[in-house]
Amino acid sequence: MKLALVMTVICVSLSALASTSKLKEFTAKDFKVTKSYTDLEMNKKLDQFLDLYEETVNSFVKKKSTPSAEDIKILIDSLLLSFEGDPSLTGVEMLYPLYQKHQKAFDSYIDTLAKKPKQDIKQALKDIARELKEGNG
Amino acid sequence: MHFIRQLLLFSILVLPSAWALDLKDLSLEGDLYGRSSVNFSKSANNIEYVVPKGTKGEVVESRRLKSNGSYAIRIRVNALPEGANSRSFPKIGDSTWVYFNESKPLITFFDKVQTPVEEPGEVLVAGTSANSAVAVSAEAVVSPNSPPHGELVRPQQTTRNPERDPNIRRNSNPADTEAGAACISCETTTGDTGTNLSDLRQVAASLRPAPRPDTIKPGLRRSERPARKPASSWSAFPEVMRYSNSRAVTNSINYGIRHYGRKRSGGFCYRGVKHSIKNGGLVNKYINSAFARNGVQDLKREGFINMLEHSKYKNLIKSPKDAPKGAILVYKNSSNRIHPGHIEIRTDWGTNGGFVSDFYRSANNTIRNRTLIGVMIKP
Repeated sequence: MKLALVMTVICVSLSALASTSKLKEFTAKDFKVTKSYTDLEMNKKLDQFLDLYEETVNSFVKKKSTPSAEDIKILIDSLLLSFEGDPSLTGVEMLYPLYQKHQKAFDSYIDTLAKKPKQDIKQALKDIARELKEGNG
Repeated sequence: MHFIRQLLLFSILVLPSAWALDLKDLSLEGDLYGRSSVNFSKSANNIEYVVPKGTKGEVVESRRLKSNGSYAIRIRVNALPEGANSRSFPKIGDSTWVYFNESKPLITFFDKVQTPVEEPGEVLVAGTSANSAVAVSAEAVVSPNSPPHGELVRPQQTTRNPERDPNIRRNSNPADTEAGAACISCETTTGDTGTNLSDLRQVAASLRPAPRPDTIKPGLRRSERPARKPASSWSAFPEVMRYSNSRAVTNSINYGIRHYGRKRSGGFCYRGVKHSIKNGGLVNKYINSAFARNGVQDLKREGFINMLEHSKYKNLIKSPKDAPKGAILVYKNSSNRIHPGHIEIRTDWGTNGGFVSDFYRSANNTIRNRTLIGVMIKP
């Protein structure tokens, strides 16, 4: 029984690790429509990203320990990249449960960001919190 | 005698102003910003450096500004005061735009004989007109007098000389052209110009690139957008077509795009939709409800119907993209019951249009974690 539990924890940790390293592969170009990179292509890439992001966040939510500073950095940085192509901010909605769990750890990294991305991510998280509390959508 | 009187009058009236027009050098009586363009607003962001007090230079170009007594002057720096040799100051020979106001003059202008010009305004205005005799610089020489139209046309007319015009020299009969016999004196032509025109139109049509529907963005002019055709499936429903083509729907969509067509969600989708449909004329009052997922009930009270509840429409809507133009789409969160959901207005048919709420998203952008619960129209 104990062995099975340990194995599960190891598997979850490994999958989270693999997902974060995959998230690092996304670049700003993946979320920017250009003449050669159409809206359709960009949205396909965005879907791939969001699938991976959801998987990563869920694996961290299942884990009881706080994500490492490196993982938090990857989660926030990749989310900021996706802002360009994701108008409905689905990524922020996905991250919100994990953010609520480890708010201090996330805030300490967000505070180190430059003014513009810091403002963007804080506003997006604030909007999600307000949305859940007061409605609208 | 008469001629002498006229000459005297001319010298009294014209010559002093001509001398006065000769702005040559200038000297700065205060520090001024040197700008790269003729924009002196705070937000212009075109300040190159500070042109310090005591700088000497010459006028290159001048323009009258909108406010009374204000001018933009392009100067070339000839001498700088001592100590003005850091990066924040111009170098000798640099040209830059400075601001000059007659009521608070910080520039003294000198004419050719190095006497200060008391009212430089007139000269600066004259510098902008083509007829002025302002000596601005070698870079911007203004032609004092443009030749009249007749003078420009005359040489062209006179060149119909076989000795000078090679076209006439080669062909003695001007009626014969490469395209066949075009009769100059006749009133009708024998050439089949209609065919040529239609051929040219065909070529032009084949060369014109077709716009890609997936790159259509809000804010394009109506003429720039490709022709929008409703999905053939909706053409069979006149009540849907009437709703989609109504003025209220168009106004609501336009209002939404104009006021809420932002790039990113602010979490106020229902507010955006409520304002759009109220100001567009689809509803008479502002709906007092907060949760987007409640949109189905709220809109039903305003006379809307949910197409997903009608079997004749239901089978035609497989995804939000299939909704008719102007339909209001209501979603609930798939996993979180307490989540407010989402609501948005369809802006056009097929892949041409997107969705607008408090932000705009294209038709290719899939909305995740949401279940479509209402496609509302007001037949």
